Amino acid sequence: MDQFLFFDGAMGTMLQARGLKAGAFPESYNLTHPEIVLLIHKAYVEAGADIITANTFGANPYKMKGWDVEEVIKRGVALAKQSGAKKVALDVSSHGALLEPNGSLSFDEAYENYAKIMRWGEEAGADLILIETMSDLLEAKCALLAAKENTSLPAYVTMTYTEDGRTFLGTDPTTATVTLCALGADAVGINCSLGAKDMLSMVEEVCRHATCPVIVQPNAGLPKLVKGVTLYDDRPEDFAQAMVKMAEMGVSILGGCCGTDPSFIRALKGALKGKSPLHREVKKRTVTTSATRTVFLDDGVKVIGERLNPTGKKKLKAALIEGDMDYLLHEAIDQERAGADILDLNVGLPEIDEAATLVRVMKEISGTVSLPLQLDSSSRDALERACRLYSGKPIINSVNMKKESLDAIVPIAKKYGATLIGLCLGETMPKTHEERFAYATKLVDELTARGIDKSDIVIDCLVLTIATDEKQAEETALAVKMVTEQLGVATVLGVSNVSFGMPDRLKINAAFLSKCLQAGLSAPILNPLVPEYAEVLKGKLLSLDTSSYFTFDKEGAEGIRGMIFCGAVGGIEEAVREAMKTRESLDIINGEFIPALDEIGVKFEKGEVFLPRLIAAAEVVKRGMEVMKTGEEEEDAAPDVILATVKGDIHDIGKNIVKMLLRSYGYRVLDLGKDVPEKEVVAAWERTHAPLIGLSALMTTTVPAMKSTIDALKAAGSTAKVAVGGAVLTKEYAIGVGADYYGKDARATVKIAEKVIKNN
Amino acid sequence: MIDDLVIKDALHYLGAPKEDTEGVALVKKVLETYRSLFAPRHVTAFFPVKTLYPTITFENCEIELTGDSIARHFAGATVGLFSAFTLGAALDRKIKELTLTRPAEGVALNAVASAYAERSADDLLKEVRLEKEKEGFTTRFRFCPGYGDLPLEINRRIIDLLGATKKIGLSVAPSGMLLPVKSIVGVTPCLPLL
Repeated sequence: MDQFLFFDGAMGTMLQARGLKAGAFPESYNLTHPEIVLLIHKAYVEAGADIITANTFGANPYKMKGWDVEEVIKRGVALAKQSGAKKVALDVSSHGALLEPNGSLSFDEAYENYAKIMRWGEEAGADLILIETMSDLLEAKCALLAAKENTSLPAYVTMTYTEDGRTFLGTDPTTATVTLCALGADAVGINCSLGAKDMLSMVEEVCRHATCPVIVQPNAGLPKLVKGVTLYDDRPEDFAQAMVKMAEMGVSILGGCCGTDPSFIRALKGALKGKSPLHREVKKRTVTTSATRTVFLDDGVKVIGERLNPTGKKKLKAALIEGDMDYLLHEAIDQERAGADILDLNVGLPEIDEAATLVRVMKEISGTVSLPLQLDSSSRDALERACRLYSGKPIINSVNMKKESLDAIVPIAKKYGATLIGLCLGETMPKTHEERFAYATKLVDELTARGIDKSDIVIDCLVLTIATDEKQAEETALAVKMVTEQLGVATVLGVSNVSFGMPDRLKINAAFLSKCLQAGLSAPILNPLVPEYAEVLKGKLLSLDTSSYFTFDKEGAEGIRGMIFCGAVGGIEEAVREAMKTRESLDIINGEFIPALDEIGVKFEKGEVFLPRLIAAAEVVKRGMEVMKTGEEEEDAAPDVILATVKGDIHDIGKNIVKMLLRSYGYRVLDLGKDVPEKEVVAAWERTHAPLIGLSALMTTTVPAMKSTIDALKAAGSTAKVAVGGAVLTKEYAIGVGADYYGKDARATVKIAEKVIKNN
Repeated sequence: MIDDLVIKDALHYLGAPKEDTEGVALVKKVLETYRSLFAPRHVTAFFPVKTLYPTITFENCEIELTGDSIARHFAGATVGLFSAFTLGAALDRKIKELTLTRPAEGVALNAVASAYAERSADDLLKEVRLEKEKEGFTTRFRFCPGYGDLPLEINRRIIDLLGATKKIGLSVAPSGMLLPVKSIVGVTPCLPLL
């Protein structure tokens, strides 16, 4: 701004001095005593105010019951315009009732009231909207959204703070400033409650974080009750002197609140005569807020608690289905006490209304726990609703490089000023650090091109389990280092995914966490209640050596069965060739391969060996089978099993393990891949009439696609049995989606295949 | 001094005798631990009585008090002292959290906060009343909406009258319940000494 903008001063205390009764609506004077209102406006214009605030502060249908509020507002704006003001501000404030979760007024009802007020103000000719004296950040957000969505007017927002530097509901100036700027306020600041000199440190805080102009309207000192009358003890010159200091901090829009009168505005204007607003350079930060706390993600490691996610958590799942909020709150409180900085919140379950549940749980948690929330969903509707009703600047988890994801999620992040996690994923799954970095680069470019500020982007380099690829930990950590150093954006990682299917999960996770923190990870998503993680977060260094999990004891690796059992790849081809000199291929398969796989399968079921060993055994069998191929096999032979990861889901590791093991057992498998639409599965069955179809899904949100696929198969007259599996699946879900079998893991799926294909 | 009274009242609310050493210890502990969350704020104003019958009305304000019980309490009064007091919103949050995670502490804090609100509101009001007494008045006890037949709905009018939402962050739900919960709104009759 090139010039200071001067607002007027108090209206309420001026009206009281002219006969307004206590407890009466000052705004009623627009209809009953318009000449007094006009007189006050004119006095402020004469004192030099650029902007006259219409007498509409409390004109709200919620408060002024029995009054024609539209008329009150329109007359109020008209009177302000009549005063000769350069500009007129529609004045808007609180409902005087608390919004949920602190009170019982719903966001939607408050929004409807504000929307009407804003429209009436614009229709009457207001030039801008002043949302002032706000204590509740959510109500301020509600009013700001109503202004933005219902008018084309600029909207300024000021909060009111007590001596302890917080609003009555606990919001501090940094939190309010960051949140309101992110929501697109045209100016933010402070008004009322305190005198100018009492709020200097708070004003400095606002100036430090505001990415838009700063507005301040103090009282004429602290209110004091003398003989039952409220008095303000600042003189106009004291007020002006403190306001000059604020201007030097970077405040460019100035005015007065309770107790001030035209003499204060005259003194203020005189004190700033010939001066220009300071040009402030405010660095945009990567940040998230709740109503009462700000967490910077570009300033040290921040822990994101992962426990509010039903994947793999039976009790949480039951609590969500039953609506047991106490359980959820316990989880939130426990994580806060354990030192989490942010809480991830995911309520995706196929049997519940995700949008309604996310909002409900979010409100409950926000009413009890002060940590910012990371809203974790793939549902556009759920994210839109939750971001709208969230009191603060949330993190959205997440968007990826697929067009439909970008189209659905980016507009929500932009509109509600959310910080957005970009997941390194697109049409393909990245395996190397270079592929991850390429996705991260594309995400930063694409998101900024779509209007998201770079400071609002956080990259998730995607953690894949080492159970299927030992190098994944190293690749992820390298990608984090590259993203941190070369792109300069904050990073998050879901740490525990690295050990899925492995033994010693905590040990692996802690070492992986240590590795990633050294690579520059900003915010690990983990269970903050685990002591091993806490030690790493405090600085304990661990090295991640996974070789022992992938180097199997070769003792006893003699003969084909021994080699398979021990995962000893070297030598299997030679051993099979040797055996084929005296035995039929089928005899080798049935007498060596299958018993070895069965033996290791039983140990896997008992938890005596883990996924890497099972995969290694399948790999040995695969090589052995290659030797047996004569080149005359029926390549077009009908498959025994059709496999697909359902529509919307691109997580196919589990499905690929199942495929590998089934093939090791000699079954012919047609793999349709991932993100497979219903019609493709139906077409494959119609083409092949395979007796078994296996569907996988990793995410709770894609489980419904299993049901629609099964429904489509049934509608097409399929006689195939359907087995379903995936990390979030349970036997109950399997029944719920209409499947015939639940494949708990790859080994269980082999048993299902034995049963179905034998009976076929 | 106020601590002793608060502990005594809190034990009474909890139905615990003072011989209940565990109860006393718990109440003392929560008072000490969470004292920093008590943020007492109040606002008061005097208004001369205009009429006492058929309803009580006041000069320079639009509030009207109805009901037999308030009428009896105001008999002979010439001034009304309106007051609003709150311990703040942070306390409500903590009571909710503790009730979930440490129920015994939650219940104890709830009782302690209620007792603290009453005692602290009385103390703050006492100073204002003393000022009035110096002018030749005597005062009766603070009468709150919900006592006798004084309707709860009058809470909102008193809050508006005092500007309590703006000044101390006190609001009222449509049901008439005060928010923050540990808040007190009332009116005290002031009578001229004969």
